[in-house]
Amino acid sequence: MKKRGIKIDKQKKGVITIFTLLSVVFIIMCFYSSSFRSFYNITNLLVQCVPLACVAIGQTFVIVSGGIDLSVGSTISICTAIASKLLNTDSVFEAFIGSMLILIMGIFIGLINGVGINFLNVPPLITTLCSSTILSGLALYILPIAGGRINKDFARFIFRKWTIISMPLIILLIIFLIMRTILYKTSIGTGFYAIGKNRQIAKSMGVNVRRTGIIAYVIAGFCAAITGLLLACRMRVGDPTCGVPFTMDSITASVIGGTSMSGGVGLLSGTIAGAFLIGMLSNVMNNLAVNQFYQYVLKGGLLIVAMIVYSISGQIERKRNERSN
Amino acid sequence: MSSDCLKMIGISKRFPGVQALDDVDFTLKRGEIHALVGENGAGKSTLMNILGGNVKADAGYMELNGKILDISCPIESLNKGIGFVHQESNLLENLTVLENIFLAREETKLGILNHQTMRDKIVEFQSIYGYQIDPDRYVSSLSIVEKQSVEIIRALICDPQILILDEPTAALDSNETERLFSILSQLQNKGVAIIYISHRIEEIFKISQRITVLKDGKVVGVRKTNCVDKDEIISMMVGRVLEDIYPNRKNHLIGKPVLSLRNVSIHKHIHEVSFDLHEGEILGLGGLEGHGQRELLRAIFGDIAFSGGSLFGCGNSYDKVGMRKRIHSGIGYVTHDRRGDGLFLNETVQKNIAIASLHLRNRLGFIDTNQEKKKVLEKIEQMSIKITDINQSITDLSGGNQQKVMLARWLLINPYVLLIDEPTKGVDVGARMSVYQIIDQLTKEGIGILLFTSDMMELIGLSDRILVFYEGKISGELKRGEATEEKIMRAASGIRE
Repeated sequence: MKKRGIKIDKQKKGVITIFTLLSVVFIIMCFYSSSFRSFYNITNLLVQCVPLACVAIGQTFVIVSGGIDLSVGSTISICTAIASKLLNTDSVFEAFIGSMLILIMGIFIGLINGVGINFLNVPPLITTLCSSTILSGLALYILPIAGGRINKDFARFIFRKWTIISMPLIILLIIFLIMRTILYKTSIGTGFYAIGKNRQIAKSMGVNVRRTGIIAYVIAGFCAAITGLLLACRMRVGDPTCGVPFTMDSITASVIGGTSMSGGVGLLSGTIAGAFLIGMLSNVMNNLAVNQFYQYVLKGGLLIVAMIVYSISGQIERKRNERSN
Repeated sequence: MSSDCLKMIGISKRFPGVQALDDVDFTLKRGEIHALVGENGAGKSTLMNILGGNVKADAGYMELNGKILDISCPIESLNKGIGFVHQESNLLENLTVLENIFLAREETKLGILNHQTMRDKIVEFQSIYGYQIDPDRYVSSLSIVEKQSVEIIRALICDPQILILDEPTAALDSNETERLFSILSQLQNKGVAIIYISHRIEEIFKISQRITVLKDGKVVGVRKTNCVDKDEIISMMVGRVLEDIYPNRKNHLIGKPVLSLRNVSIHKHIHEVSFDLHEGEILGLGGLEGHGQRELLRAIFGDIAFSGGSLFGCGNSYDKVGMRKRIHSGIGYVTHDRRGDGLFLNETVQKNIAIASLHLRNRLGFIDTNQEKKKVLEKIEQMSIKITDINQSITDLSGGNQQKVMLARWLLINPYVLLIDEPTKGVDVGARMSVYQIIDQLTKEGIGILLFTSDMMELIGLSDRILVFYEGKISGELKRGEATEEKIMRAASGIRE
């Protein structure tokens, strides 16, 4: 059989481990809690995970190409805030046009981040932290408190369910397939890995490092805008602070999924698994009535544990390579 | 018989502080192997980097097949048929062999990568030239030899007219070298012109048809290989007389051993090396760059680990002692990369001088600033470092004064051994003399100095004894008086006497 892609082989093991972990937690919880294994909860859980999975895909592009995007949370917030104004209409068509405008805005935010980082040489951390602060301020200016309204029919269409399959899952699947094609099957995708590992060498081998770097942020902005739309449609209102936890969670999902914070390594399937693991753990903790505060502690701890595990396994692999040479 | 396919005319390039190339002409004929030789820093790599699109020339022009060649980036050079195999591995370890070979010029169908076509091309290419590397392996899992093969495949896969090889055999054993030569002659028969940079004179005589010798950024001469002998090439490369800028050390007394190395190895760099450094001695580590000397200095300092052997200083073993303790015991290291890992560029002169010896002025966790100022001023006076104020920014100082600041820093720890890597890099002649005088003065106080410099003249001028390194081993030991540039060059090129 022909090999489909190349990246698929590499960290397959890591991704399988995460999926196994995911299923183990799932099965244990099914035995443990009757409310967890209810059909309603499981379909709900799947839908709940979609927004995080979506923004985490974008974050993975940025981290793979050697950067970090701290502005995705605020991008989500401002998108819901604007959605509550633009989609506050009775015509589904207008709502559709409004949502397209929001996606374009997400792309524009990514473009600004990317240009700042790649042309003005401001470090990613600073650029995206600043744009994050600006965007959250703008979001609060547009919509001081949660409110507004989203077109009912549009929102219902976006969250349509057919037993276990639902519209958000289909949207996630489409985005995953598109992004997967970009990352593994185009030359720009290889470019992300190249500039993430070593910008200098990538440049000397002829990669257009600036353009590639900018596209990664554009993708992150686009994915964040989709997440913003999904959240707005779920809540049916806008909320100028709802995106806050997504910055940290998207980074955690990527890292759990095997993306290296130092760039050049990462898979989208791992990120999706990471996002579902985080989503499921919050669902489980809500189910077990764990206080919200402990959930924060656990999420932070999860990121640290994941980083430690990958750092150790990376060291072992390096030693093995050195020995075999 | 064959015409010039490449002409580089009047190429000049200036880097801060150095004229790397000065009006260099270089021509290449179709189907020839043209060797480019010269000492470190002679300008070979700069010249090739201009051709390869990594560096832009200040003056001069290039012609390829009679047409003006204008190259602004590496991929352009590759697309115009110039393949470049770099000296150091220039591959991305997180990508596969296939991705590295085709990076930035992938085969695509409607924007989607066509892995099968690329894989077929590589397999076909490998079967012609006898390589066997799985295109889907990750570069991080390849050996050095395999990595180099990947670089060669990358350079050759789109049928270049010109192939540049920068020290291609540095990491190869004799079998691999033979195979490379047979590939080169195959290419030569196909009409590919090859520029071959190497320090191994014997190889050059084996495969090249012409030799261009560069020295200090200028062309010394172009010779047909069969009309010239090795000694002539070496004297063209070196050909200088010792000037009187070095201290007179003929009557200098050398004491007992202070630092002893016994069978030390460093993974991939040094193999089982033993020697002693004596009190008041300047021991020069000679040879070409990249043969383990720099790593040896860093390992003695404790920055990288020895993979075997032992290090003794004044009778004590240093095997389980880290860098901090080594500094406290009196080992100082003056780095070659002053701006990179030497100076704190955003700090003052005082802070830069004081930083290594803070432990000596520690009073219950607080620094005795009065004493610090006194000590720093003392050293500044002693070494006549030109400053306007002790709190002046270090970046305002000239290269020579910065170098003195680095020396002053390590003298404040009261060293008994000083490791100096390139004592006068980017330092003008006047300041060089005073750096040499300082070094001479230090040895009179009994400090042992281990010196590495790629400047041959400096090595001979300063050292009481020279150990020449070749591929991580000592290939020659020369005393003051018997060391000549020719002898060192021979030992450094691996030519056995």
